[in-house]
Amino acid sequence: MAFADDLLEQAQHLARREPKRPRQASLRRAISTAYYALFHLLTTSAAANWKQVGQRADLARAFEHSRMKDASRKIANRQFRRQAPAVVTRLIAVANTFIDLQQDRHAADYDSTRRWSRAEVLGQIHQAAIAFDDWKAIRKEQIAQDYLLSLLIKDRP
Amino acid sequence: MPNALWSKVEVIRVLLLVRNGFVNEQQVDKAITKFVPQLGRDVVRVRYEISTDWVGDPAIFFRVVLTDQAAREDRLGKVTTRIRAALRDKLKPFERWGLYPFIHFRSKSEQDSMKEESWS
Repeated sequence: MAFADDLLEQAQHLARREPKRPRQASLRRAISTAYYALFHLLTTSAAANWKQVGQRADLARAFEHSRMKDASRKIANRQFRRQAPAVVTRLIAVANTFIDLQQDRHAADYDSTRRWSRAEVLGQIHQAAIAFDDWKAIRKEQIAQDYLLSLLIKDRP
Repeated sequence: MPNALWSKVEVIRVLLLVRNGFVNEQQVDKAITKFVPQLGRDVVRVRYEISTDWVGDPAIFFRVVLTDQAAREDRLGKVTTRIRAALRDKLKPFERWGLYPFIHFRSKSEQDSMKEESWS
């Protein structure tokens, strides 16, 4: 997951780039980069399940942002039975963080009236970092693997 | 809009929103005003706005102004995690009103400098 980790580190760097008066450009790029860090963490994890190594990059490009949001919302609102509560809590935290960062990324990239503060951006990046830790702790669990699949494939009618 | 892909939970949520005339904003305001003191001394004030997210789903955007001490980098992570959890899991805006919560933070000195009305 080196690329995703590098993106998260870059987000932190951008958020602190100007010590006294942060530029909006740096803060916006920091938010957007934090989202893409989590996006790549999840899509790379999903693609890693594909046996043909040479096809994984193409598979990772098949993920759609809105589809991933829908899947994450379903996780955040689903009742899990017979699952370890600690695993469920971490998975829901990852899903919620994905939704939060995606919304922020949209505002950071497209809403020119929106102004960001450093504390706000660092708070969101901190949330992303926790999601990284949560994901790394649960990624081999069945419900985490089911989540990965749901990020890519639409529900059947 | 509605299609066969919607889960039962989503269908029920939308039906509730329709029945209630989207949401009862007075009820929401009353609940938030009552809840905010529970967030503790780290919080200067909380503002909110009911709107939609980037794909048009109902949402509530919280703007939390923190004390400068709470927004110090060595405390910020813990403070925002705690407040985020409280607004999401104790206030339960999604379960009560069908509004997905988005929560943002700013320090008092940042807001004093930026002077944005929506955070005042």
